[in-house]
Amino acid sequence: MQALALIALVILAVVFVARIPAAVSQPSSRLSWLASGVGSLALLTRVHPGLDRFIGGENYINLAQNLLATTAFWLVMRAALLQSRSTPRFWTRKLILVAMLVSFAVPFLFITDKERTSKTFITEHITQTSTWLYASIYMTAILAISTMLLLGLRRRQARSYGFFVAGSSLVILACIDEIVVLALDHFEVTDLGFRILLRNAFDFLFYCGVILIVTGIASFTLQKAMREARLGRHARRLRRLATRLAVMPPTNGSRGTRDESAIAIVYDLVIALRDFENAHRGRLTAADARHVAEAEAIVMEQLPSPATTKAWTR
Amino acid sequence: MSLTPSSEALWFEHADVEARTAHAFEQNRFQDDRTLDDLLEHVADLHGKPIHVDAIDDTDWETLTALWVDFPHEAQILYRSTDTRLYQMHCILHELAHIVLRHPGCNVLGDDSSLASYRGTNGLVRGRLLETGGSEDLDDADGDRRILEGEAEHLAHLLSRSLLRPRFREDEEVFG
Repeated sequence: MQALALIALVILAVVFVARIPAAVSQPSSRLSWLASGVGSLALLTRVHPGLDRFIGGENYINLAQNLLATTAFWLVMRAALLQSRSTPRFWTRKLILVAMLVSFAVPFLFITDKERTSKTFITEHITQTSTWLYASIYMTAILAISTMLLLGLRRRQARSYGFFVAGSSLVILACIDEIVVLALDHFEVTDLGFRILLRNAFDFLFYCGVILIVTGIASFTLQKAMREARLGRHARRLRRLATRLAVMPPTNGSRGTRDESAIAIVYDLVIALRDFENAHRGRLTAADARHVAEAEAIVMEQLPSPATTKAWTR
Repeated sequence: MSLTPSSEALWFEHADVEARTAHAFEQNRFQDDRTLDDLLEHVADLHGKPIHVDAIDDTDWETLTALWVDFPHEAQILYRSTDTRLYQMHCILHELAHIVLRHPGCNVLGDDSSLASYRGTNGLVRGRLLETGGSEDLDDADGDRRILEGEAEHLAHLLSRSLLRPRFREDEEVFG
């Protein structure tokens, strides 16, 4: 399971670095960007518990990991929910995050004999009620956040949200599994083999869930980059064609349109080339016409719900 | 490839045209409209009467790509059914731009016989007519008409910016 945590850490760290430009230029992307950074730190404490010695060596690394993980999940949930006008804003309040963090940090402080840094700190101390409360409240917080994320994404149409839905569903299952196993461990119910099986299931479900959510974030970034690259390629090709035919779109270089997006540049060039043909000023070769048609198809893909445009479906 | 260098620009361009159309775009907050339907509704509100948009199969429409006919109680925009969807949309935007800019009707629409039926109505007519670039054509072109057409074309491009955004732009802004 260490391998899964390591994979999740690498993906999160790559997403965090790759999205720095977006975070700088687009304020609304900062929450989810910050989530990937905080999540990376949380996973770093998971794969490298030796860091505990820098904060006292009394398994405070476990508390730090859970505080960071809760914050990362909450940031993703807040980013997703704030975008939707229909979802309740209660869970996105900062006070809710603070209340969650405090609610499991306090029982942690009451755990006794927690000196030696250990990866199995919770299991070793689960007989203490403070440990049971600490871990169970943490899991309940993640369960609540993931449930809100899942509910908040109900009506979203972008395909990338499929990763978020699958991921948060796995995290919810993992949390339920862990809450059950913590109770079984604390009250020493059922045999040890069954409990170990449940513990292992948690790691698998939780980290697969995290990887899927991060993949969802990455897929938005990737789709955007791929689309811009495709449009950029078409813009260059159409510009060469337009120059050859001495065709110039009316907006070319005009004030206010110099920093145009690639899609707007392609649109203007397509319209100018179609005008050129319709005005009988010349004809495009079959290859040129194909390029124009391909570019046009990409622009069409991006128009908002063209099929539902009543005025335009006759 | 047969090539006729288009030495004369199809659309009139001038800094004043850009300024006027940019002002009209911003003043009416067209950037808030997300679909062609939104734009149509918005322009119909400004115009004070409903706007009907219809495709037409007339093969006589050679260099005329769209037409706005303004009747006392409604307006009609006609576009060619044979054009590609994106080009149709642009031609509709061009006619909407005329309405937004409160342009008057136009009598110089070539000799297309199909137009006679519209001229004969009690409606004002303005069309998106492409000039072939021949010297006669350009000599005939009335200066005011070229300016008005240039304005409408420029505003049509600005209006297209409201629609040309990634389908899931808000999602991409948050997670992309």
